[in-house]
Amino acid sequence: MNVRSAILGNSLAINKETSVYDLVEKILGTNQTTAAVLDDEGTLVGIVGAHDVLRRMVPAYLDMGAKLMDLIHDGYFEEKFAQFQGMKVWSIMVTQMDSLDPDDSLIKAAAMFVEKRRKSLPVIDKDGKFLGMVTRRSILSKVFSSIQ
Amino acid sequence: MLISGEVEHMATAGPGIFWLATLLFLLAYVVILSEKINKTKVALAGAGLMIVLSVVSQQEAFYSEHLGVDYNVIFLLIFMMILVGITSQSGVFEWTAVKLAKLAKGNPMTIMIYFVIFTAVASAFLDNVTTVLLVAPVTLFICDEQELDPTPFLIAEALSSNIGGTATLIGDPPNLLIGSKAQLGFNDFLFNLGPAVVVMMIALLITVRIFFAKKLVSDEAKRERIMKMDESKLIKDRSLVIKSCTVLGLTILGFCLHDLVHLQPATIAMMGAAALLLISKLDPHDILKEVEWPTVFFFIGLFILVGGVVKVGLISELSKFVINVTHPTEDNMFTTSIVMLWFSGVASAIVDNIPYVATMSPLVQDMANTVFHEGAHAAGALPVETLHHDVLSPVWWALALGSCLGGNGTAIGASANVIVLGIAERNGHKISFMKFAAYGLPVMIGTLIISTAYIVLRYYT
Repeated sequence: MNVRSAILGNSLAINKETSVYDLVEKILGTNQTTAAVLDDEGTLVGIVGAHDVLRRMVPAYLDMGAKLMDLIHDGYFEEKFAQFQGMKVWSIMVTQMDSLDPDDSLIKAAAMFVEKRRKSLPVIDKDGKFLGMVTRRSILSKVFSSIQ
Repeated sequence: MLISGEVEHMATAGPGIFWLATLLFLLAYVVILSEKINKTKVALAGAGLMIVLSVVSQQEAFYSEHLGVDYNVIFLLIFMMILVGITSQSGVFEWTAVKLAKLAKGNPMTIMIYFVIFTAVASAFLDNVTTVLLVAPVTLFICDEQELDPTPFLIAEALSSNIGGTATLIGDPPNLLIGSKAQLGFNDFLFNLGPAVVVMMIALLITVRIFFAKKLVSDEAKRERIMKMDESKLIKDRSLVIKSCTVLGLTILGFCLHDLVHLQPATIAMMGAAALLLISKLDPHDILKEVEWPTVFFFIGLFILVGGVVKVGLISELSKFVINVTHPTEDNMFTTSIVMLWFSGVASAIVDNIPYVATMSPLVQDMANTVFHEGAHAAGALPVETLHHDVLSPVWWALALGSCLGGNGTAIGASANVIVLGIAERNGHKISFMKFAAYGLPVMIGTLIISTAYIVLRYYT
């Protein structure tokens, strides 16, 4: 079994000019948490998801002074989210990402999920064209159905 | 203590070994300055080569007080890191900062003044990097809550950290190096540099007010956010606060009472670290992980590297050059002091002040040996009366002032600046090299002018 067989049929794919608000709406409308970001030719240029949105909402200084978290004023989180108005996904997407080849084995994909601690990974062909996403769930589902 | 055969080795170092050691030292210096390779790796590799190439023996590198690792500095550094590491876990520094912001009633300019003073005082007793690592996150948080640009705060804190650290033996690594080489204690630094630092801090506070007053405006609602903060939530372990502050306070008191207790600062710090480890019940594994080991090993490598060029006579040659240029005599070293101050200031703005002072302090020793004893003593084996001679003392203080204050000139001049700029960038507030220099350079020049006036008034009138 290869990665091609585990690609999600309804993989989320957006343009880099998509707004962060639209991204959040799309994520909430599916059971996926990560979207592929494509250029006009359909080439994968990044991935972006709920994690990247949340990362932007939690200031980096809290990593160094975690105790300060308890003193943040009420409504801080909502105010931060409001600042995303007009922001495009290219400003928060991850461009240095791992990807899978459609002919990779499922065990290779599984190993990559474990090593990289990712929930989903993009699958691209030899020309960098995006074919879809695979998730930990889609791989498990494929393996599970094959032994039934 | 001079180990057997040291003098003979120094006297017989041939031109081949002289140039080999000099080249190795310069190469290590250049690579450290280029920042292409981690400085700890370079210092350790250079130190290893000094031994392998027989410039210094392993015996000298490990056991000679004057040619090898200076364990006074190493152990003082490690034990203070342990003490400060435990104290910072208690949340007392964050608690103090928020308390100060509330005392300022949320007024941004007043908060900045309080934070600048807090940073300077903390830097005098903790190392500068630790201080800014503790103060910067709270600053970013307070500014975020007030929707203010944190850049002015962060720049002012980096500057005050370098000025405050100048005041004491333990405030800045160059002072540790000078203190050990010149056998100067905590009180010597405090009484000789403290008054100058107070004047400089007053000047800095006036300057930051002029620089930033117009940029620091907030409304009533945002001030109210500060006033509503419950800083007690920052203290997770009240008993740890009491224990760590008590031990840190007693340790500093021990440094001040050095003449009474007859113990070296490293021993006092060791007692403090051991006592706090015992009573805090924290796991030593966790605490020792927090020690800045790369800095400790950088010092170890540096001592051996410098020991190599001391042994082959490079430092002695440089000291002759300084003597020819500044003409120090047994009665007067005025020109040497002023040149030392400004040269150290400019050099430290460009290069790391730790290797600079590691090189310059044996140079001052060698110069004193030539001027007072016509070179009769072996390297580093000068009598304490000479090291503390009234005529020589201003040169040590000029070296300390110049090397600590010069760091303010550029973004890379001091470790605290590099750390603050890194934290600012990670939080989306990039401070460019030029922007830092626009504030840092005038402050550096201003503090060097104050230092010049201080040296003239205190030691030469």
